[in-house]
Amino acid sequence: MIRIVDIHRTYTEAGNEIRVLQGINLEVNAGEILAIAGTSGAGKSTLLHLIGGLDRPTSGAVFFGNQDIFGFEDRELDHFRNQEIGFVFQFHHLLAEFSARENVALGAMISGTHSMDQSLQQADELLAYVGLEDRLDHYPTQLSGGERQRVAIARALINQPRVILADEPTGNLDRKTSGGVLDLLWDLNDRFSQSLVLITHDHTLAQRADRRVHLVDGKISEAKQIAE
Amino acid sequence: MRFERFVAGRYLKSRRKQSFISIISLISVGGVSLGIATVILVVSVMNGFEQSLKDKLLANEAHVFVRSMGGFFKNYDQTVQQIKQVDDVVAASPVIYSQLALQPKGSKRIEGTIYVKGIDLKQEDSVTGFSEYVIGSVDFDDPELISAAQKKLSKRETLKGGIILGYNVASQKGLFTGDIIRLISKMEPNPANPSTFFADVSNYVVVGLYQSGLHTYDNAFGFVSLLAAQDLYNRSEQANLIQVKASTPEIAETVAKRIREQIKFPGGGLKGVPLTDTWMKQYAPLFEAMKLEKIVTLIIEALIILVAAFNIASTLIMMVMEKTRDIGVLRALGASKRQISKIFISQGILIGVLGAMIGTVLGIGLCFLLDLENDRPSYWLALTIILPVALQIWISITRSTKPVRSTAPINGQEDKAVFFKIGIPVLWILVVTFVLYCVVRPIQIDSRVYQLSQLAVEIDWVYVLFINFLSFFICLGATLYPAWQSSNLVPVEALRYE
Repeated sequence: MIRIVDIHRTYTEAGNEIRVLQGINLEVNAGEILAIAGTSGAGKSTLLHLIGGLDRPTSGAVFFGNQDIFGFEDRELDHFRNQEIGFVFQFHHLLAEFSARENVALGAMISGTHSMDQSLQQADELLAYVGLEDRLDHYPTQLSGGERQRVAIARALINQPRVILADEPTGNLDRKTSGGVLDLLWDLNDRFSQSLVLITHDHTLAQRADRRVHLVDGKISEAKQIAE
Repeated sequence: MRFERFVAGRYLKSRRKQSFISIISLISVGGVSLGIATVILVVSVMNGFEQSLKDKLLANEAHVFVRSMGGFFKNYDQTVQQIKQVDDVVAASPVIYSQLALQPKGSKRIEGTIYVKGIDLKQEDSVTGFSEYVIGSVDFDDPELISAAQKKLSKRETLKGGIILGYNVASQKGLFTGDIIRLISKMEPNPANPSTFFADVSNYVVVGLYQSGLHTYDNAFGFVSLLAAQDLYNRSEQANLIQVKASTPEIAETVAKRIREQIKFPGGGLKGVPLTDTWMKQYAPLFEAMKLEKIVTLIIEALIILVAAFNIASTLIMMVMEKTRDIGVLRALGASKRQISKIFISQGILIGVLGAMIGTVLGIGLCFLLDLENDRPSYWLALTIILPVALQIWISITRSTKPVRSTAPINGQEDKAVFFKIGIPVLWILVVTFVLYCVVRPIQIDSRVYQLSQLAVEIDWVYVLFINFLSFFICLGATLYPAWQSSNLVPVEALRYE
């Protein structure tokens, strides 16, 4: 479903070129869980941002289906992110001024296809699904770390995207809470058959994925698909 | 509700403890409100002052003044009739104007001069509102007062008639209705003893007092009958001025021109051409000064709103900085650049509209309070009510709001929160309104300087609308840079923003 072809990403900082990604080729199949593992600074998050169209590569292409997403107009790219991609960040990145249900509903409101009430109703259903039906009107500061990440997962699901991009979703949680969040992600993958691209530096977690990729200094060092 | 407005509204009323943006938003709203309220108030006061001054002037003054180069008109009745035939002339009246020395009876010295206007009461009333402002009798030949006065005079003295004195002239000289004054029209040196004078003295009895509220008239004028004035100058059947009332004051210049073109006095040549003047020309320096003052005030007021707009811009720029990561998240969720910029434009507009609404209500409210003539409760009463109410509200706020936000809303607390959310602002509005009612009173001004004794207020609704539109567009302009700044944030960098 997603094909990454010879992606390079170079940043220039204080006159020095930093080559973060150096010719990445990768495919993400429909419904699979792909773990991208690697040490800090290996370029995992940059790769994730490129897949989600949040950043542009120095060279190379990311195909979603048959279309290169970087050939899209700005508006088309925004629509692509809104409809096809769901982001889950390490630090949940919930908006502090909005309640849990409002945070979840934002994605649907942005699309403009649903009324506010419909969006909120959809958000309530998703929050109930992630086990937060009694936390609908709570603000992020009133939620625990695990609850915030569940809200963030529900937010990623609001427009029923085909791909979930999770950037170390448990990186900020303790082991017990992490387990709950990961179980939820796997559960969702089972239920909705969305592709899940999971960034992690935890090799045990990577082992749980359908397929895992190791990123070292901006290059894929080993690709190993675990037999289903 | 659209996504952009929803987010903008929420950012505006953000109450997070760590966020100082909501306070700055509040200050921005306050800035716009005060700007608008000041503009409305100042312009209304200036309008009111100009209008009431104009009204008072026009109630006391004719619109057009016709003079002859020869000084006095001989057949003024005929001239008055001719002038009445001119288009847009409503009424005309003959007058004798002069300045005379005044000596109250019993006083041994001249106590200043006054302008004496000899009028035909009926015709004068048709041109100005003379009778409306007279306290006492308007009859110059009031039999009761005349006969009482005659008894006070010696056999050698004669009474020329009644005089209506300017209220302040009478006050300053200690004169009342029924008192006798002497008017001296002419003084010539005594050829036998050059250090003394022969004075042409006439006695008048005060029959009424003239109180128009206009300093010029109340402090320096006296009115006698036209016949008495003619007698004073030995100018039987003559007048030295014809006052004309036009259908509207604004066309005075046109009417004056028509009179110059259509009326010819006997004698021909330059003497035959009437000399005209209008109320506009007479008071031109005053109205020009007021016009200039208005323009300067408007510029200053526009600058006040501009300062408020800068305040909005800085608030929004700070907001963009504080919400950088939120912007990154919203972009990741699929929000377009346009939607992001609209959030901040909406926010600026919300601040502007809210500020303009509060400012308009405040400005108009203050105008009404300044214009109300009732007596107000004392400042002490205001203070005794405000202090306990304010204290109670303060205690209620500090006790009630803390638990509501920090834990899950429970039914009872929710009701309490709603009560405080609506009840407290309403209570505050009532307290502030009451305080304003007690404190804002009509402003007394020095009539010797401003002609009027109280500041009048007249709200120009078109201008109120205009200033609201102006402030809206200025506020909209203030949002453009922050909106552009927010939409140009690179999503990935925004997400990494610390």
